[in-house]
Amino acid sequence: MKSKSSRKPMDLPLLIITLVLVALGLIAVLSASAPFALTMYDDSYYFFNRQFLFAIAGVVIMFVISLIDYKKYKKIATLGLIVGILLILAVFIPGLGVTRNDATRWLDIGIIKQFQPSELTKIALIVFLAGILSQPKYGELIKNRFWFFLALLGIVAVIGGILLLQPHMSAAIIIAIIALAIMFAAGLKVRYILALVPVAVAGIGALIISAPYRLDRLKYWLDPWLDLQGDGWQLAQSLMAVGSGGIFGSGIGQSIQKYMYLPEQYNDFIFAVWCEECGLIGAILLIVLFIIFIYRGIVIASTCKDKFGSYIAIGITTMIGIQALFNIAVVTGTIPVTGMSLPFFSYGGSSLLVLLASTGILLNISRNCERS
Amino acid sequence: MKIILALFLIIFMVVIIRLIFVQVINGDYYKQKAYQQQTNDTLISANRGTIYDINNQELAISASVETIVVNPPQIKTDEARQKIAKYFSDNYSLDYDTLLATVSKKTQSSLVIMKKVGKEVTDEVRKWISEEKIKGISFIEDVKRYYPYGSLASHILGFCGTDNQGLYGIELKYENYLKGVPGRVVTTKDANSNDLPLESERYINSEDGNNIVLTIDATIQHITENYLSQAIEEYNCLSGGTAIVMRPSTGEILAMSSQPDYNLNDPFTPTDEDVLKVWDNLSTEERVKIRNEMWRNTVISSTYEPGSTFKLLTAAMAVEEKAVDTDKVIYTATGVIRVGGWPIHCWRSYNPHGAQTLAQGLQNSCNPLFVYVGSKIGTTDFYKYLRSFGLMERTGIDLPSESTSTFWEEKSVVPADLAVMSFGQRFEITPLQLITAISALANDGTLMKPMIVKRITDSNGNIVTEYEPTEVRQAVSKETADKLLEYAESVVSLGTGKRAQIVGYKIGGKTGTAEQGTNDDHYVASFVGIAPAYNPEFIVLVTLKDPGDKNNRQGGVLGATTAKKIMSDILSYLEIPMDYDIDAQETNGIKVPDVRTKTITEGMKLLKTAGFNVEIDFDGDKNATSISDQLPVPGTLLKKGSIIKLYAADNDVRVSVEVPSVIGKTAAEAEALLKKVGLNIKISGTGKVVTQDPPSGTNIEEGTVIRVEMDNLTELH
Repeated sequence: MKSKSSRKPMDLPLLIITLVLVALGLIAVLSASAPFALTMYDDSYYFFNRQFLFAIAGVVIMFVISLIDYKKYKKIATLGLIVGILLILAVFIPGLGVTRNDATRWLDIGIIKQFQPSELTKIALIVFLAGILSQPKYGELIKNRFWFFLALLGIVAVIGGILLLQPHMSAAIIIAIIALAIMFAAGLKVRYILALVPVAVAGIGALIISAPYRLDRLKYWLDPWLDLQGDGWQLAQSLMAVGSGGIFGSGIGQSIQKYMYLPEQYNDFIFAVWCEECGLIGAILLIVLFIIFIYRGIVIASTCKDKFGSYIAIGITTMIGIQALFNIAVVTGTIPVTGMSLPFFSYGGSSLLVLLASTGILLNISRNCERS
Repeated sequence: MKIILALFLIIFMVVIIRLIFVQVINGDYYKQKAYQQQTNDTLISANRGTIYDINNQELAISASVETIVVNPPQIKTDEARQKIAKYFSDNYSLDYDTLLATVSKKTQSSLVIMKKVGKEVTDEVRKWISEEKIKGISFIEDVKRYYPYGSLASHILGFCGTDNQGLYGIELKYENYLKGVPGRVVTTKDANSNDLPLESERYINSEDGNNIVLTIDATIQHITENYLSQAIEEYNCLSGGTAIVMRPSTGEILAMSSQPDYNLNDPFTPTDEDVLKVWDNLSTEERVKIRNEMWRNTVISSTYEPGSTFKLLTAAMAVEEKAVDTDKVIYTATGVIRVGGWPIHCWRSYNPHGAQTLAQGLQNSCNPLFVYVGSKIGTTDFYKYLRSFGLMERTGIDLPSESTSTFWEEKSVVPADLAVMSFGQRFEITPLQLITAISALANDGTLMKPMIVKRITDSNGNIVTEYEPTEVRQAVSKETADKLLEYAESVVSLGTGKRAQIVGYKIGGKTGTAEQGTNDDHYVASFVGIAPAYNPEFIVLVTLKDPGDKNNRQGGVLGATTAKKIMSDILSYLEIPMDYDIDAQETNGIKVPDVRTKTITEGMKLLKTAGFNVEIDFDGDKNATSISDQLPVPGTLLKKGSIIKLYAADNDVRVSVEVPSVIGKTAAEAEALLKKVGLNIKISGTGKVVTQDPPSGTNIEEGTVIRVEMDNLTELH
């Protein structure tokens, strides 16, 4: 089965969508970052140039990884998870960890000053969970045993707990959702999940009490103009940018909100600039692209006979899909503000590399997996 | 797995619905919010219109200035902030800590550092900014109101607040015409208030304000203010005084002054030096009170009891109603008259006026006679004429804060009330109301509405509105009015108003010495003058409040003397032709001929033939042959043998001498004293010198005429 001739071509729609997203993302970064780059570095293309190089590198890596048989990862799944956990612990090592806005989420690894290891941990967890659940023995347990569900959840909770210490709640939430999605795909009963709802509510309550700024976030989410100069600033500026776009937008490059009004205008709030410049039409186009991406990912997962491949595919698809969804929901004020970047769009080299690498895995699954 | 896809689809649909809300349904709301924060809406101030006098002299102008502002978000370091604060505190004596606090307000923009400063300052600051590469300081064009004549016509013009809005006077009343329409510049800025270069600016041009041309003549205003403030100082008038000059045929106000006045370029500083000494210790309320008092235009905003000047109006009522005979003796004064049991005394009860006609009653200002006249008119007709003369209503002059009169209710008037009202007591009117009413007598009986604004012009000088004189009503008949002018003339030529006589003119007038209220010892000495009496060009009303010397507070002395000086200067300024040939009248005067266009030889010959002595000042150019100037000026009446000083061409040097004192001297002594230093004399009356003008000690040019007044003026006619 492993002979060259048996290889099918990779999933072309997914590849095209990914390349289109990366290309649009580069345009968006150029437009959104130019004013800040000009002020800070006297070079409008400063951020674009860096992102462009990472995009080229990322696409090469994607193709390389798409050639590596995903089944090889099975052997190193447990080791991968341990490394993944160690990496997110490494940020607490003085001199290695980078603290920004009171959060210690990054590693300084020389060429990349702000490398976010939780990106890799997510992949490691996906591969680990897929590896376990694809074994028939554990595949049965997840369907019938609540304690097994709890045991797996315990592993997720350890990772989530470390992330909360950083603190990095959005990453913790994403990891939880990815884990649930994989387990759900493996046959986890809905009532097991529902049984956890009281625990989740209690947990969220505890989180709010432990860090009151989270409650303020809720308040300013409902009316950002309550504290325009302070905590409401981000969302208010985002809504003004999105609203200014109207149906057709002001045209690429024409955003005014990107002139220091929007925080993280080329990062977490890049979608706001996109909405201002491309309007409702552009926003829906982007959402449709992400939906097609998710659709292709789920098609790959559901047509893959090999459960390991199928679970990895569902994990990666969920990871990218949920980040896109959360980011867009935050920017439009649908959910409270939380730090979440928009896949393929937000500026950030390490993130782009990990995303393209993950897509590479997805493409390899589409190529190597026996289709049903 | 289809469930996962379905969940994604559902949640993405929710997000899309949310997007439709934010971008389409509420899009304009957010767009508006964004626009507000993204744009800088800067006002371009419109030039405030100019206020001119009747001869287009600028009385209030707008000078271009700039306001220096700081944009704190553009200043990045503490060092830079301290540098800015230090510069302005060192060079312009501003407070360092306040400045530093202002510069450090990082969330605000366009904070004022220095308001309305001139070019000298802004040039310096600009130079400093470019040399030191300072960021965050900018300049906003602005205008500052400036009054070239300082305190002149201060109560008429009023002044502006720091935002250029009129606060008093014409500045307030014509605010809407003067202010113009400010323009706007809309620029797009980033969150740190830096202008964005890519966005196109939107300009809306400002529209300059209209100009106001007053009926006021700056020269006449100056003459009036000068003599009024001189009189207040000389007679020590504790409550100041007022003077108005009005043209009766149109109601135009040529001058209006309320003293003490204030400096329009510094209106918040009190002018009274005694007040200024304790100013810093006064409470806010006390300061407000003092300022309001200082800014009050008492000519229109304060009322007083007019006293005997009002008798002209009582007499006019009697003549119009034929209440008394006009050419027979109507009343024999015994010094006191009893009305309803109350005795009313004449001011000269120690020497009663005896049998008098109505004209003689005016000449003597005899109170009992007017009590009699008043009783003949009766309350109903008296009040009818109060209304006809406009005394029961505001005149409607185009100035803010006009007051009106207080009279007893007509129904409640008893004979004793009517008696005192007949000679102008126990009711209050504004000086403007009185002069307006008396002007009707000088305008064939037609009452005119007082006017102070002649026209409004736009910034290009085109006329926007031209104001025409407004007739209010016929107060009395032309015959009555003419009769009263005759009477008024006799008051000056024969009666208590003799000190208002002006050689060459027939002057009408009436004196007034009025008690103010019943308890306090307050007096107003006043005089209303009509010049010339039979062809009235203007009317003057002078009121002097609370003269210091109790033995010298008669309107006939204080008021008439002051009004005479004002009238005399205005008559010559307006070049009003004389009523009679002085040569025939004046035995000791020869008219100085005009030799200014002649050669020196011709001039000397001409002057010597006329009977004058001549002195020529060459100063350097001994060969000069033509005359550049002469002193006294042509037309002056001088005694034979007076000195005429001639200046040779191109000689700007004037010889000045100090005026000696001639007070108490006889006419001959005075003349000799003055001639010794090269000065000429002009004598009014006989006896000994009581006043001289200019006073002793003044330095003036040789040849100037010193006017002296003798103690016996009645001998003139």
